[in-house]
Amino acid sequence: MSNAPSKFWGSLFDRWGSLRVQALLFTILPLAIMLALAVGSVFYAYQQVAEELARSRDQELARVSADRLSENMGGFVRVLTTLSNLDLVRSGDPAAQKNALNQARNLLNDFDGGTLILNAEGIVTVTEPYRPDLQGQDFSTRSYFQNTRALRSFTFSDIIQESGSGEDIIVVAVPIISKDDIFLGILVGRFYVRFQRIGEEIQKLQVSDAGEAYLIDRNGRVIYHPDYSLISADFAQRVSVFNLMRGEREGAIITQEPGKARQVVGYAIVDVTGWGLVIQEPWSDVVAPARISLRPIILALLIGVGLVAAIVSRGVQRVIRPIAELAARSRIVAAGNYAAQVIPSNIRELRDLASDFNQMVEQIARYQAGLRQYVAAITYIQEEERKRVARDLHDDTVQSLIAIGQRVELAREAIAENPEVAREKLRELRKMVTHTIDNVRQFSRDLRPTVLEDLGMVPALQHLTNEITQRDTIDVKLSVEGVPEELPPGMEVAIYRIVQEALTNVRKHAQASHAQVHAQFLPQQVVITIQDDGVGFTMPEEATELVSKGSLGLMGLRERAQLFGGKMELISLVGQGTTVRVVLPRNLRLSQFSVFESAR
Amino acid sequence: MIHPGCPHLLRHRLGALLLAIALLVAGCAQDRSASDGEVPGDAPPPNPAISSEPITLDVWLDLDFVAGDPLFREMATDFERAYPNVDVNIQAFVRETIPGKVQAALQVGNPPDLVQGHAFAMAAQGVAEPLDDLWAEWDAEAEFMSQAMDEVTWDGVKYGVPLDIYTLVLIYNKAHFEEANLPYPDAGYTWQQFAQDAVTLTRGDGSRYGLGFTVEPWYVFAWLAEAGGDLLVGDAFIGYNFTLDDPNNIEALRFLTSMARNGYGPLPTSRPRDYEDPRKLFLKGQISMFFGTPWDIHYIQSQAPDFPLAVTELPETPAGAGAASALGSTALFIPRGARHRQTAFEFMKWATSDRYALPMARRLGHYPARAWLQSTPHFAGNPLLKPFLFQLDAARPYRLDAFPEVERAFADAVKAAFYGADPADALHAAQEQADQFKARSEDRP
Repeated sequence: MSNAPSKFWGSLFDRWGSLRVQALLFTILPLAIMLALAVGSVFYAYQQVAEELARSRDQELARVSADRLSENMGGFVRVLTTLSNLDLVRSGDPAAQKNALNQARNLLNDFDGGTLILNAEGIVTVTEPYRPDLQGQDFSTRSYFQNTRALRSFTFSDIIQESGSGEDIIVVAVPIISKDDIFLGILVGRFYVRFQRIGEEIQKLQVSDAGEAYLIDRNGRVIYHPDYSLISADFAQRVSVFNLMRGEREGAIITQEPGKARQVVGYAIVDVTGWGLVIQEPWSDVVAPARISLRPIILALLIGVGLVAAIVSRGVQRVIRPIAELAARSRIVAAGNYAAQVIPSNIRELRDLASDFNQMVEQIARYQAGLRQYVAAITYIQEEERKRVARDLHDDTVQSLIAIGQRVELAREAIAENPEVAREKLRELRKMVTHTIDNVRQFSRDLRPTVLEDLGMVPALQHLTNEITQRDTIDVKLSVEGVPEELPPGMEVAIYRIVQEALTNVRKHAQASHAQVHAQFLPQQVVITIQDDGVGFTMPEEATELVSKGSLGLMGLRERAQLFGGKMELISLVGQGTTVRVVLPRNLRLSQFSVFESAR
Repeated sequence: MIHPGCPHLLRHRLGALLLAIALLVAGCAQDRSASDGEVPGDAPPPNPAISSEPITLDVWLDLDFVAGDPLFREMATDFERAYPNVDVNIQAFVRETIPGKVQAALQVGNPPDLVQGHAFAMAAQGVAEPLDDLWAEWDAEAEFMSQAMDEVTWDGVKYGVPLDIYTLVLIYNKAHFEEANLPYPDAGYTWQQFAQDAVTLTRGDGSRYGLGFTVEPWYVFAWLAEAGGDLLVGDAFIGYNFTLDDPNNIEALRFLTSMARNGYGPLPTSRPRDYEDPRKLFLKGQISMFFGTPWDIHYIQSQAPDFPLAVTELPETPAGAGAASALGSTALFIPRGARHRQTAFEFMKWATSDRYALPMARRLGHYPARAWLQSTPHFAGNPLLKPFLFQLDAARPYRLDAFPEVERAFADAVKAAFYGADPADALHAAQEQADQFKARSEDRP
């Protein structure tokens, strides 16, 4: 049970370390992150620019609309001012004033709350249409009366409550000034806020396409709003309205109230009146056109990102797949199946790698085949050698020992009867033992070069060359360079055997008349060169083919050289002799010592 | 019996069963609809005579019909969908300001295509376009109430399509009557009882009045008509004679104003649309009775669903059979010189079709001037609407708004009477102005 988590983590780390995951981590993932960051940055920048543009646009829209509204509201002032300048109105006679207003009824239709004339004391003297409820009332304390009297200029009121009905009204007042510049009273046009006459002026601006426009008085109360239920509501807490109320002439903000959509709000003062016009539209509507035009760009971007990811993924796959296959084939080869071949990739480096791998596998296969043949041959030779040793022991040593035994028996029988004969027998016996000892010693020398141990490296090599020269009439010369001192253990034997084997080959196959052994004991390496002037031969493509061609000796030389970390070079041409060059490094690594020790 | 080895038969029988259930359900649904008194409504079929040329149809409607409910904007959207070349531009104005705006628009040569208002009055002022040819093509006159058709007819010519119809009824607060141990007013309610109850229901501290008043001429006309009075006699062909100071009018106005001046009702403010004030005071419980319209009933119910509201016919007067409430109806008319006459008339057909007439009744409390209104159980069976429907037959048309100058004189007389003038003097003065107007009119070539 406790192994399960570790297995899991092991599996995870295994997967984590896979080429596929690594490629994903270090190519596609960074690319995707970079693209996401790039896209995010672009969108952030776009958002910022869009917000700024939307603010500017709505501010400008609010300002222009407020200017136009101001101009329209000025129309109301002009109508009242024109009437206030009439002699009938300036006469101060209520009947004449009533008559004047009655005649101008069509001009006054816009004032849905009617028109009033207040005398210089602020008393309502004329109403049109007839308003008996207002007639004679004292409005001198009304701010619009006081302002108009003080400034002698027109006044737009904020929302005020009509006495009696309690209805919210807006008032426009102009002064009535005599030709002698005496204040005679004011002419008042009235609007019922609920009747939306002011709203009609805003509707004329046709700003509603851009969102909703509403009008507020100087106290933040709604004079007009497209949502009729909000008429007269108090908007003083809204940021845009608050900004206007504290004196900001125009501006734009982006707001979002809880639970409501984000809004772009532009606002501006309506100059003539002192009221504020606010235009707001949902942010989604502002960005809708851009969003529509962004769609193909986003689509193209997504397609581009997808395409890039696909191409990168495809490219990574193209690299990973051959490598993965190579790894799989390597495992097959490691398991001993040398038939495995990798299909070459289209990528040059991978194709070369696959080609090298295939060649390597073929070489290993050939090497393995050669090695098997070599082992078989070695085994055969070993058996033959054992047979020879057995035969030699049987035919020579054993026969000698039997003969010695018979002589000992004859000597024992003759001791009593004929001591002289016995003495003679013992002398023969001694000769026979001496001869047998010589034979056994020779036999032993053949098995192991005692001369090396007895005389040293150079004399042993000299002995070998002399022996060949004497036995086979081949003129073998030895030259030595350097001193064979402090050679790694076992290397002396190896050098001796290499020279011995090489000369045996010369003797057996080269048909040479001269041979040269050159031993170089250099500080870093030992180089042994054996050169003959024999018939030479055709070099195989692979060294391992030497076995199949029966050149076990050369294969043995190569094996011995490799055992000591060295190498063997073979140069031979038909009719031009053969040169064997063996190079052995003097600084053997520890592992090679152990190999050597076991080989010894 | 179903044979298990016969799947086809089984399928057929199951199919038949399902079909029977479906028909049963459909039948039940139809029955339910009929029992609810629903009149199935569809928009008129597409009219191939409508030009496919892209146009904007400017429609001016009463703000009361547009402000609180999107019905007409929905209808406009449907219309645009049916006629994709038409862009309907609805503008809403306070009812009383519309005639002046239409006149102003005509003067500058840019009238809207369609306007809501009193068609005969606008025709009398030479503002409306005659529509007899389009009515003849439509052939739907019989579908409308005859009273409503009168409201769109001037001098025998039809100038509009009736949109709604209304009259005044007595709206009272049941709780106040119970509190005062008074029996509820009923169909036999008389002016004397009405006056006496108003006195009983009025509290001396001014916290409650028996009655609510308005100076609005149409509303006052209902009182005068109840008393057997009238404001003009004659017709458009032979000409009208104004009878503002008719003795019945004087008596009725005296009765009315004395009630107010004696403190049994708050003095009306005389502001424009002061007819809204009684409803406002009634909702606050400050008055017990007022003469109101069907949309007042709808408004009160929508604002205070549990309000102890009751409705009955206007009180009977000594005039007896001659007594009647005031008839009112708004219509859609086409101003003279409008550019899209045919399309505007098609829009009228849509607006007055059952598809929108029913929602108008339900959602706005404005009842369509359709003939089926008085016979449909849903409306006729509603106790709050019954007096209204009953009074429609006897209600008398108010024609004074065909003569705005005379109407203004009458209105000023009413205001003056409420604010202290003797009703007789006030009406005599108004009559003089009316006579002057008539004389001026007759002098015109």
